[in-house]
Amino acid sequence: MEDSEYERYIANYWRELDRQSAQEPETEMKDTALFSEENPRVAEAKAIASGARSDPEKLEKLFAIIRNPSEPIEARHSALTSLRALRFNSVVLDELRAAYLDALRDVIDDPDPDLRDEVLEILSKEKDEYAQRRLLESLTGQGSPLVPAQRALQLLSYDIHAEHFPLLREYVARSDDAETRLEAVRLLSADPASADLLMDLFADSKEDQEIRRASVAGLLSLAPQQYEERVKEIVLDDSEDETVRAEGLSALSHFGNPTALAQDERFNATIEELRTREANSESLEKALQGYMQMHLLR
Amino acid sequence: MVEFSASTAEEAIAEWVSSSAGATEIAGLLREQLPLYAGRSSNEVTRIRGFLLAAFERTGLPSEALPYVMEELESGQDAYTVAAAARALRGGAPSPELVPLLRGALERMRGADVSMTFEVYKPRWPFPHPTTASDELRKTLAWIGPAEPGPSCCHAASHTEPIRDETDIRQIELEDQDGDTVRFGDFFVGKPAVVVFFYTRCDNPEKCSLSITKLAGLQVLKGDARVAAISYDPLYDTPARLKVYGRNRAIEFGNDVRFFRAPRDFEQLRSWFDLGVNYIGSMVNRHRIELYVLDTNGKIASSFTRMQWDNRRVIEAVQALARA
Repeated sequence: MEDSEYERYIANYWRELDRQSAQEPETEMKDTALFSEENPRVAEAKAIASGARSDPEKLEKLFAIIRNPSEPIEARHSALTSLRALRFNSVVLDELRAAYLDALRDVIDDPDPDLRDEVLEILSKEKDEYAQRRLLESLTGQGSPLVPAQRALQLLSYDIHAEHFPLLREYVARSDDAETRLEAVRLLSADPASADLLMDLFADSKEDQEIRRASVAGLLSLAPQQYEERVKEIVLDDSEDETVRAEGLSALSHFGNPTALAQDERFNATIEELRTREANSESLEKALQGYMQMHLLR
Repeated sequence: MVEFSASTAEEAIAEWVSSSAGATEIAGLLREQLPLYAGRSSNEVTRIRGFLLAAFERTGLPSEALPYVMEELESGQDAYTVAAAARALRGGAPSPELVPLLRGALERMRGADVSMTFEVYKPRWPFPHPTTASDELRKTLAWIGPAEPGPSCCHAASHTEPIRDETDIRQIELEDQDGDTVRFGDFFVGKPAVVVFFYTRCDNPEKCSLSITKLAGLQVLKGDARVAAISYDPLYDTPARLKVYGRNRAIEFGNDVRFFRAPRDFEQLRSWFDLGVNYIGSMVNRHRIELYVLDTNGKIASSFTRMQWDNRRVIEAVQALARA
């Protein structure tokens, strides 16, 4: 398609969307009783939202509800929920994105933790630089905590270019919070530079079992061939925890090099022999079955 | 010429821009491959580059900065740098031929705009004197005035690159989408070639995704020339990822059409091509659009960088080599 054709196509696309929006004026449901809410302000927020898709004034009203600390918290949540849905199908909200994010930024420091969490989630999914900056500051001690550390890491992971990988490695190395460490390990599965770290975690028999399982899953999606041999050693090691061996075997099943695995007679013979043991744990048994189906029974 | 390093605090760079920097000095800091940008997050790179571009409104826009401004208007996804580019144009003379780029940027900012300020670097909320990319683009369009624009301008022009690096890269090992390895010289010597740089985790659809989609249109050259893409992200872009990415964009792999990664020797390729890319760790933090036409000896004959290229011009460049 020629460039001028492409430009005309795009311009026509937006004109058609605008035309459709104009032809479908929504009727605001004035009868707030239709929204049977205990809190009348919630019912009002829902009534506003019902007619907001093509109406910038009503969208601005929803923004105002969100940012107003005097509004009932339920009404603010309701307005947020409505706007999240409208983000998918409101061309007018596209035009007002800057104002929408302004309203959300106003709430980042709100005293209500659930509201803070919700707006930060929306902003993180929108890859808002300001929200990402605030989350990073909260994790590095340069700003006040906005959400729990584990949650902050999850929110940053919506954008791989948030470049929080060094921070994740710090958390793995230094955090004494098990849940946060585990989340950090899970998120490092997107960072090839952390492959060695993940391998070290998986290979460390003194490490938490959940951490080890999360490590091998991330490791083999990142660098399957590079670490296959080491993972195989752990899978075959009878002194190893069976859930860890099972996780390693599952990761090999899904991410391993099929050709290399098919040619490894020693490994496959040992897997078949393991399969005959009656004392296998349920997780190892399941992983053995999965591996055999994917690689040996073809 | 001032030089900043990877360890220079971004606030210090901003302070220099605001206080003493001249237009030419600022323009000298826009090349992506500068050490200044190494090890910085994408957000930090965006903040720095946006602040640099916006300063041209005050300092005047030198000609060497115009390609960077046009690039942001054509394919920039971040509202901050797009807004900065719109401001930068107002440091020069009104150019009606840039109206299509400005209008295209305005369309692209629908659903992507955000409040920002150029008054303060890395501001706290609420921002002082906020603006948006749409505001800045409309302001620049109004400043240019009602002159009728011509046809869409501003494709990448072919230019011949001077030899930058004498390293013989023919021995560099490449791994293709099937996991097969080949040396650079064995694939790229013998026929002319077209090679594009990209990476599968690029989140700007106007850059890598579009580049590969357009590369598919250059498969008509196969037989007479080789068509290839090389990943900026060799650790993450495994053969399987390369294959899926290409196939999803109508690439039909074969002897003359292959995607590669260079997991061991990418830095040599990066230096030899003088690639417009930089990194934080192994993650790309900024890159330009770049396509290279190589002659039958595997040397760069011409390049199409920064702006979207016109496939017809690339085909002409390859055909010229074939005739030579």
